[in-house]
Amino acid sequence: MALESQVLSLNKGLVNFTHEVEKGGGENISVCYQCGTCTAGCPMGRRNALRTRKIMRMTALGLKDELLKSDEIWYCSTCYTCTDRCPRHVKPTDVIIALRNMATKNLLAPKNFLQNATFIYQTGHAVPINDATKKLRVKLGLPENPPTTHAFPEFMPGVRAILDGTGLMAIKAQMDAKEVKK
Amino acid sequence: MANEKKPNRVGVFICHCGTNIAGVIPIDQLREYAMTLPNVVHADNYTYMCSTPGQEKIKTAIKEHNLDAVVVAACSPRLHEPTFRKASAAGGLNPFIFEMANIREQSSWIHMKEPERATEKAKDIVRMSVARASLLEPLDTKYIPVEKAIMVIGAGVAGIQAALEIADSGITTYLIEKDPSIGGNMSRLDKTFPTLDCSQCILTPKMVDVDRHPNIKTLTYTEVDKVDGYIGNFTVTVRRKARGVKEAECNGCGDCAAVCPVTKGNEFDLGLGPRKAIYVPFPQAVPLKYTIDFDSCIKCDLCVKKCGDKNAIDLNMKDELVEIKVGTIIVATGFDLYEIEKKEEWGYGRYDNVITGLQFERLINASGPTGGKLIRPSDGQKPHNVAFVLCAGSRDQDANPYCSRVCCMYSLKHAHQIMEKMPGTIPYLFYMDIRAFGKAYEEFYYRIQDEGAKFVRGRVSYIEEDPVTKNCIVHAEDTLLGTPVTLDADMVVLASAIVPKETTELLRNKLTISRSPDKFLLEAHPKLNPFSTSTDAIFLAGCCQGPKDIPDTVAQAAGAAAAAQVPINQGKVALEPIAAKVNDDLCSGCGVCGSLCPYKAITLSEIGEGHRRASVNDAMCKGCGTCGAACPAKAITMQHFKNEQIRAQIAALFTPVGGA
Amino acid sequence: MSEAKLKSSLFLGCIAPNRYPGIEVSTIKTAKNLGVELVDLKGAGCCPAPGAFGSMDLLTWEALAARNICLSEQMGLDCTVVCNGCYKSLYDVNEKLKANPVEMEKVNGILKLADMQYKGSIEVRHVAEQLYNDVGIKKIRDSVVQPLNGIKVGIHYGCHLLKPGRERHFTNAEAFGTEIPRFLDEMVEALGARSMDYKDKMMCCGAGGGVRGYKKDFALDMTNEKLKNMQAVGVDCIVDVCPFCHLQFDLGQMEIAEKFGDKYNIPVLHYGQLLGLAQGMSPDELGLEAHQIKVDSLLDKIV
Repeated sequence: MALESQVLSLNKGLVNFTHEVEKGGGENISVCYQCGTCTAGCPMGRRNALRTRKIMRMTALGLKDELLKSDEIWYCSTCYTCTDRCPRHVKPTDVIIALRNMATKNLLAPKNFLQNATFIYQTGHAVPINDATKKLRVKLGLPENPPTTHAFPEFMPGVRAILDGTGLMAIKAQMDAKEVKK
Repeated sequence: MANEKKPNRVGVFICHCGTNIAGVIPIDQLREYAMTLPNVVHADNYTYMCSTPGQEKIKTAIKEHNLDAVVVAACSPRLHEPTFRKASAAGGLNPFIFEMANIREQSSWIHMKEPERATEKAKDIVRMSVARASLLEPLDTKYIPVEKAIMVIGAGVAGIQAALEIADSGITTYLIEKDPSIGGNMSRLDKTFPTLDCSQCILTPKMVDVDRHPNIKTLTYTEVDKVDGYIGNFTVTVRRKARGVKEAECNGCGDCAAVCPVTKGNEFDLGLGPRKAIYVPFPQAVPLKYTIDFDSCIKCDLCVKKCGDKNAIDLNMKDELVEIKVGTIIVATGFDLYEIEKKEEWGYGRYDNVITGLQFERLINASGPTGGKLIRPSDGQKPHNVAFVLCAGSRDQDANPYCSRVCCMYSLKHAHQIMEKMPGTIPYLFYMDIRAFGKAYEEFYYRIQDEGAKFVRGRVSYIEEDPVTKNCIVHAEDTLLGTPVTLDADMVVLASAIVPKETTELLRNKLTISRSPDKFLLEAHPKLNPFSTSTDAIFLAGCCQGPKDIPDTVAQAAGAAAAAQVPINQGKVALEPIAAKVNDDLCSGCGVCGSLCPYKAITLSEIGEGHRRASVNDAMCKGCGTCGAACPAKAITMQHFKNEQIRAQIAALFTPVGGA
Repeated sequence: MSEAKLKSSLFLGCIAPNRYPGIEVSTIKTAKNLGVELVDLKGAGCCPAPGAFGSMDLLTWEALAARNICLSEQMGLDCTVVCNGCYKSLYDVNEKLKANPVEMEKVNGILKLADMQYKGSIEVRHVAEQLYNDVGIKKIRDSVVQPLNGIKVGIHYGCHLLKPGRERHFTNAEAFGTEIPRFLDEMVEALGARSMDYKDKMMCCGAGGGVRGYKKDFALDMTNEKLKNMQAVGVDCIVDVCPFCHLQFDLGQMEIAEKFGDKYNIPVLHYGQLLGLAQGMSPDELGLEAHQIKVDSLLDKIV
């Protein structure tokens, strides 16, 4: 029974991964000097396993597989404190969002995210109106439906065309199919 | 000179520059091409033309082939034009019938991925240079005498060192200092790393030497007002600010300050301690003369009365302008700390117990405002721990992108001083890297670790203040553990970035010297000439050129002093004969040239009744060509850059002659 | 130029119209009292949520945001938002596409499918920014008929409005800094209330980035920390400028009580509602019945 090697082989990192992440919005990731200012200011980091700096490190090393499969990249509340303070102008929040985008393409996004897409596809809103609020709106002298896609559903085909056009709904469909298989 | 025979026996020498040129451009091809050009009678090549054998080739070829002009196709004239001019002269030619074709910086280096096009471009460049060389005329270097005096602006350790070196050589030195005393930032320090020498103890002997030196004229509380003249012959007008105290009469007794009713923050103590409106900045001040801060003085006359018969105070004193003639100038204006309150996340200026590194020096210094006791500004209590924030405002795209070089070392020193003076008080250094680059510096780092200082590898993200205790809660990540950490710190010291003084920017415009993007003054060459500027006869020493510690400052000051003395010792400076020349017969005295000259090198003088002619001061003229281009009568020729020479170059570019 | 800044389209987002319509109505009415006309923007949808939605695909996020901006462009009006999240989506996308023709073309390629074209012809502003910079504190103060009696307010600035600072270009930038901003403090004090300093005032509410949906406990733990800090200085209410933070603090207090057992009973108001109170609107007019945490205790302190 051999013991599993604890050594990380750097060769297995993807050499061009930082470039991919930069293209996805994570500018300047290559000049991160690992100061830790991001983690130190992160409100989530002090209560869960999110280590912003470590995610930047793994990105720099090209550990794509570990990152896209990780849960921690979904813990960030996108408060942008890290991005605001980074002395090298790295954008850790946007790096995380780029990683999330890649994870989504690989069908690894948590379900609730894609559910938002469905709500928007159906109603135009991620948080559609409910009966109680409709009543309150009328009481306040507002129209029952706000002047959004709720009151003007003729704008919905445009919304749907966009969601279909970028392929996001196709991803949703693939994820749903995967669920069914389970 | 106009009837001189134009060169028609041009020699072209092509340099390989190792592989810098030869690796991109086939030299044989280029040489063969050169031989097909009009007036070229000889073409040769060599791996390193600037080397001795390379230069020998030029010398020999001139004699063997009876050359009357030389073209060297190699690197930039900024590097080796002087070299090859000398080689041509050694071969018997006038050194100005030499032209440099830059086929490295302007072709092989920048087009290295397109060798064929680079080669075509190199041919174009050589062709143009040959066309120009065929029209060059002999010129003579002019020499002008040099004023035998040097001015050093700034009397911190850099200025002091430079002044002493120059004065010891027997040259009159004017040492100008805008503050009431010499000494600069070094006189604020307590101990210096890595030896832990007392800063004042090693500086004050030099300050006294300066004061006593027969060849140094120290002018304190004095600023540069205007700089006129040119290399070797500067006329600097300095403003002796009104001290309110007659230096000859004041004996530094201090009776005046004792009765002065006005108290202000002492700039020398960075606001941590008081001074009166009439004051000396610190006890070891040189000169030990009082100064009145007229912005705060209420002219109550109490000091005048107390001074009595000594009669050293004159409340109606005015600024005095003094003209000083010098041959060369050294700028040694030092540094300030970055306005670290701009980094709001660390609370400087809002939290009582956050101070800067220089303020720490004043608190820990026995001659400082607390007699050497490190106390918390909020309650005067001894801190149980002190957090040090390294890289505060340095290595920061939002503040100063550069490293300030000295802060790692002085923070280690501060940690040592705390552990030595206040056993039980723990220093915590929050760092990204520990830069211990100098002699005995790494050993010093080892020592401070050994003595028990705590190190956290993580940049401080933000600091909170406890509203009750006024403690500072420091937030960082221990990146080595991978855990966010906090420290409840009694005090925080920010190792703030070093920046050039704001007054340096005003001064440099008067001297017309450049600065680099980081706002420090620009050296002539970052590797080979960090103590000169690109303006001849103006030199740099100390932190005004870039952050540095005391050893490097002193070394650079000595280098600047040596360089500044050269024109003085030679007694003359050479003027490159590229100045504008006025043809008196054609000049109508319209004055357009003078109004455009950026260097004020042209004067209009009366000759005869109501007639004026322009004349050019060769020393001030930089040969920029503005006057030559503007003169409506075409009366101005730019020597060595005549219209026909330039036109020939342009024509050669657009009408290729010669074979492949 | 100032006239153009005083009339704009009103982008509602989701939470305000569909959960807290009091924010909608108070914003419109108080703005009108200050000379700002906020006009209905027909056919808008979700901004879309920068965290929850942008995490999935940035191109879709940009295209949906650009669609919303187009609707305002078609009206020839600048666009006003009431929500930090909507601000990030609309302002950031607007700035990005204006500065980057390649990206604009890419997004327009998608918008074509919806028969729309983004032109980059309007500006996006947050209503708080509009009130502070375009209306001004003096006018706000002058519009107060019911001074707020020194009630202690815990201001929650939120995140997406101000950060990252180098991607924001507010007039009066010093009041809109990311570490110690002032503009909301001034706007609250202009109403006769007192803005309280509290620990970690600039901290996130926890809801954003899709965390409220995915890891509600993390989000609520953050909200709980903020509530604790605000309670420690004795705030009478929380004031926000983001309906999502608003929901997180309001509904969140109920969820925190249930999950962690901590009870605060601190009423939560959007600035529009606070301003409405100060301008004499009644609690009914402000839609306060939608609030989970009853606002009565606060109202008693005012009148």
